[in-house]
Amino acid sequence: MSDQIVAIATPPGESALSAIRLSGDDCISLVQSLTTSSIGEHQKAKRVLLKDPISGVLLDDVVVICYRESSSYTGEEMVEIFCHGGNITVHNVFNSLVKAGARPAPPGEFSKRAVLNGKIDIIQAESIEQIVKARSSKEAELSLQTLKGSLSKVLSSILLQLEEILVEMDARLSFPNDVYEEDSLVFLRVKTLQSEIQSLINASSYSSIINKGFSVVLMGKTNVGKSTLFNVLVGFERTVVSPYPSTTHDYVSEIVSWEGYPITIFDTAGVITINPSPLDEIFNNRMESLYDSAFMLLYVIDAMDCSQEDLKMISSNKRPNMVIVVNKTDLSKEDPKWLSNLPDDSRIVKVSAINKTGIDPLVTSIIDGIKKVIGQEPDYYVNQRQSSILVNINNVLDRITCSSEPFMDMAVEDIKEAIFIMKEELNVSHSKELLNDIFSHFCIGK
Amino acid sequence: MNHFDVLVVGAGHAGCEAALASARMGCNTALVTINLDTIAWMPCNPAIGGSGKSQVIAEIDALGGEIALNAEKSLAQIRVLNTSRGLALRSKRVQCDKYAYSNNMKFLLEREPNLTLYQSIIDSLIIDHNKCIGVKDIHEEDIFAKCIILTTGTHLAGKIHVGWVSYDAGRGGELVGGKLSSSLHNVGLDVRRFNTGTTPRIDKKSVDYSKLSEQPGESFPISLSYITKRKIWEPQLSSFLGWTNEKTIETTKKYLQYSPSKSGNMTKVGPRTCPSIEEKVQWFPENAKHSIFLEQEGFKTDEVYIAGLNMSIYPRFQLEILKTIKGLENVKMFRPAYAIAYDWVHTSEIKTSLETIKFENLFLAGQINGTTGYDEAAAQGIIAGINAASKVKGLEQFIPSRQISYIGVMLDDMINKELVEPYRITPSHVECRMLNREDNADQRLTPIGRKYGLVSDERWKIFNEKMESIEKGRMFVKENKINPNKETIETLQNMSYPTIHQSYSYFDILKRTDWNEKMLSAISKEFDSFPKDVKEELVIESKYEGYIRREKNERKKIQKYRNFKFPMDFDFSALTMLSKDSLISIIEKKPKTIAETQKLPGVRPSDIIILISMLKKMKLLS
Repeated sequence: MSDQIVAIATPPGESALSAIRLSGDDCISLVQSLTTSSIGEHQKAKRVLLKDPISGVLLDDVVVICYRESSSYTGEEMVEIFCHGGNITVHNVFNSLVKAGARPAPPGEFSKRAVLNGKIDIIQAESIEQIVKARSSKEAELSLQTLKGSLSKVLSSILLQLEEILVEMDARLSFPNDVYEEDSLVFLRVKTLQSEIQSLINASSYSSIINKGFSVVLMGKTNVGKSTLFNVLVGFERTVVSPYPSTTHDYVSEIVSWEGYPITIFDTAGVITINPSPLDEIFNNRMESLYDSAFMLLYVIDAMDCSQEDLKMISSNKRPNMVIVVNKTDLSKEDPKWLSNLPDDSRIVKVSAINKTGIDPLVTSIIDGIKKVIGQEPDYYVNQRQSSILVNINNVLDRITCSSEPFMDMAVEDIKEAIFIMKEELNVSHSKELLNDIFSHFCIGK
Repeated sequence: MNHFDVLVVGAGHAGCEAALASARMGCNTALVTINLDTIAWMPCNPAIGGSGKSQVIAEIDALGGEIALNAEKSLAQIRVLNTSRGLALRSKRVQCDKYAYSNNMKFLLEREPNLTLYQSIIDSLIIDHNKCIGVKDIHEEDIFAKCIILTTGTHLAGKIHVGWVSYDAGRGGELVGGKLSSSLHNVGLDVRRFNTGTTPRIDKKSVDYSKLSEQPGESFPISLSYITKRKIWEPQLSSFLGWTNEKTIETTKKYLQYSPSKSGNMTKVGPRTCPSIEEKVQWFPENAKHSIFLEQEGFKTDEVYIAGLNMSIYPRFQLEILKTIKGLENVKMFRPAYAIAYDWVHTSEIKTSLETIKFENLFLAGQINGTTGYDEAAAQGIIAGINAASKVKGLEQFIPSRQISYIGVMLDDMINKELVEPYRITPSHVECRMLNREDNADQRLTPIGRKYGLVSDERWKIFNEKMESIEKGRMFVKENKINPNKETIETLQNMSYPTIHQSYSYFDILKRTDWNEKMLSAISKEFDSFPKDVKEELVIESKYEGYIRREKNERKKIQKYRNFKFPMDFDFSALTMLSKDSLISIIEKKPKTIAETQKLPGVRPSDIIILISMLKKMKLLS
């Protein structure tokens, strides 16, 4: 028996429509008690008038969709009501449903029921939250893949491998005369599995970066046109632009989404190197730490005015993800001579921020930089919680693989602990009868 | 004389331990056997111990049983298995001179006070108002006893199958206890059928040993029983390792149709731990290379047992298969292999004390309970013996829990899990195997054996001395330190031992994977002066401390929550993290408590730990 719960599924505020959903045994008849039209046909939208069950006052003209247990989100009987949005109507409908006997659901209860009823696992439930809170289409895409089971599949394959390793180890210990393969083979399997787990952990840093966004920082001397370029990149006049040096003092940032990647672009004040005032020092320090943490640096140079100082800055901030942007190319038809002084492997893009030329190649160059660092994109979203558990599991397995001559009897216990953590913390399910497995893998017998 | 306190039917490994336990507890005991010449016979492999089994042997020995001591008296070879795989699951295996083993046990039984040996065949039970009060034998004479223990082995309606031929017989072709099975059936016990088998015996002189690899016994000081001083055993008989090949498989396949299980003459299941070569060929068709071990059956015989080649086809075909093996090209066969089907009583009929539920004072032990193996049988024998004698004397029944012993695991599994094949104990059945080791069975069980009167004064004295020494050792390794001073570091360097950079207690340095008992003994004369078994104990307690602690915590957790009652409307289907078999069983049986859940078939001990953790997450447990 599950009680009937109700919640408003859409955010508050003025809107044309709002959605309310209910879940629990007989929740269809609960909604039925608010209308004279007959509802209940599975997954069919039906337009009905809802009235308060006690006062009989008309509540709203709504669309109702009913779901049977077998194919609802929660695995229970469910109803979705689409009513008019805003601050009044949706609440009236909601309150009447509560009066009719539904209990207001705390956040997450629908998903919890879906988990308890075996419709989705915890990993998938977590991905729903990620979809709802996604800040870029890449993040939403990955979370959706995860909801569809991509991560669950990988995790249960890891669990399966752990259980197989357990069987192999136990077979050796239980039937020492019947397993001929070297013990080192099974320890090698642990090592291989660890690298698989490690790639999940790596995927989590990808997940976190697509959640937080890639930071692309504009750098360069004052008055080379960083802010003009920044405004062009973000698509509107975000910062004040003037012909005077140091118009921008602190940094400003704006989020853009290119090819689905969330990118935060930072416009910075140029570093003041000549006679910096105490205030300049403070800003300089702030800039330095921003440069250090940047995913990518765009070093902007004035095509007409490149100094030794630029070359110095470039080489001291050199990193794989650095693009040298030669700005103000509108003022010079020929390549500046000093270009050849830049390090050989420099990536150089020529733009004219003021004329908005060369911008597309710059954007492509940034996206290429992102793709290069990411490498193969995972098709699942690994959140911080999951990642720290996986780290924990790998630490347990390290006890086996970091020892030069591991004891098999201890290793079995370590594997058991890893399996326990997977089941307990990640709620991964998969299991087979151990002894049956021993017999199906090895020929045992005296 | 036909009134006894305890009457044991059958003098195999279960019967001998049962009769000895009962007699040693002071009960007037009778042991009736079909053939006095084959007491404690080893009709299959003449060996005891091995992985999992040696822990059982150690536990029987710790309780004051005889199997370990008798094996030492008849020892033909002793080996330690799993030596490269750590310290906690090492297990000993002893091959015996099977004639000596039988003879030594018979002589011991003959001299045992309170024990009467008698040769006869028991035909039926005498039941009075749901109590078993005695038995009737083949000569139509009644023998009465306060408690009766049946240890029938393969004699209970035994039938040997060779090819398409079958005939009534017990182990090794002996007389069968035919009528007893129908008597059990007639009084309403649930009688089932299992089968098992053995391998051919060949002539030692007909083997070409140059084509086999020799496996000698251990040549360092060792003992099987806790009370025997470690020594180098001499002489020992070597075993020889050989391999099946493509031709063996091909030949076996050719004659598969004559296998009684294949032809439908014998349909019941045998233990998967002892598959016949016919079964191996069917189960692992791609695998041609199976190991076989040639094991000599005694010092005064040329008969050799071939481990790994159980067969049940016609003897002429058996010989043909044998000859495909390198080294056996000219082999002579003394006795053909056979399969044997026999009756057992479903374990839903017995309590964990091994007494039947329907008939008070009737106990069952050994293969009659669906197990396989001398070790498993002997363990049930001593438990049934203790409990029958306790019943007579008005003492509490002894039910070792699975948390403190392998025997407990076996009893619990036998009774609570559905046996689909003869049950053999292996470490994989056991959840607390870091706590319950071969080396510490005495610490776990000797005090209990003493309480029941099975542990002799001599054993008790040895035990107490060892415990005292261990206690002293525990203090010693925790209180003494090895410091990284110049002198120590030089000593370590000279011995090319791993160096140290900080000071360690002896207990902690032993935890390091690159340190062992030998090294510490070389550093510390005082540590070295402890007896070998005590030193080993201290090393294990240090190295495995974390694992032992974890098991203890789990054990405590289960103990703490075992009486937890599930709420009335608890939805078991939500327990998705449990293993599938476990979940199916739980949903079907709807247990009321965690303790009941533990006993369900398919539920693994690890499932209970997960269950507890899930209940905690659901805030049902604190």
